Amino acid sequence: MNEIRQMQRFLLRAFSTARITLDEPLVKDGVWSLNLFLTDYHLAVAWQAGRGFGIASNDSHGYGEGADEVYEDLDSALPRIVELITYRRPTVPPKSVRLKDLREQLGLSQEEVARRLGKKQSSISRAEARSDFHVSTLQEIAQALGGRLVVKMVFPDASEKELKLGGNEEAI
Amino acid sequence: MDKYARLQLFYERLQAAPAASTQDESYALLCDTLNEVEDEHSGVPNNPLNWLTDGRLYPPQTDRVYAVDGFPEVLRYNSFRHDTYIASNVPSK
Repeated sequence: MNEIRQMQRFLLRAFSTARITLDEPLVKDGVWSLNLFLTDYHLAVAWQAGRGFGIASNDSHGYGEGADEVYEDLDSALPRIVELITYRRPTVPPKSVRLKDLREQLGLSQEEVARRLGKKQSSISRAEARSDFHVSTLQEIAQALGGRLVVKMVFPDASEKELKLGGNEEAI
Repeated sequence: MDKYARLQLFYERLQAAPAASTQDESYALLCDTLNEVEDEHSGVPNNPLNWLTDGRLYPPQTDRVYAVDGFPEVLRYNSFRHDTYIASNVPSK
């Protein structure tokens, strides 16, 4: 039994008043689509072997938008889905992205980014796992991704100031 | 341009386009029209393999096609929380 069928079986038991549909794709290795409906609440789940789960339950979700949240496997997706359904909560679209997700959104491989920087793929892999960077490193990576780095400070009154980068290199 | 305005523009262009004569043409028209609008106004590169929302609106993909019970000539394309049905308006003989 694949993971989406396991999820369906669990949800049918946990939320017996919900209407739950599960659609098998016509194409081999396609995307399975599960929809759960309760009064005034709709949760949509997509699953594909090797890709994991994508979910959306936000009423402002527009036609053609991707998943608000993505999870690699059933163990990580199911608790979140149970929480969303239990409390009728909307999924939360990403406001910020990890470096790895940003690179993938841009359709670039680690090898390609490494080539643009004149570095080895392993250095990109290490960079994506880090949480502490030199500003110059982030600037290089931003340029390799086709963008530019902007550093902002946000204050309690919600005001923002863009920081001018220059002078001595400092770690962020 | 925000997603609501882009969606409205997509609908307007789709309605103004000549009618398609096959399911494949219909699907291609939908994809081409939405991709054109998004290329012009979303500011986000086209990357349909990315599952996580990136601010761009994507046409339904061919790996998310489903049958419709009782309607063998209708194809249902699924996007998150939305379905697109494509079928002929001409009754089969």
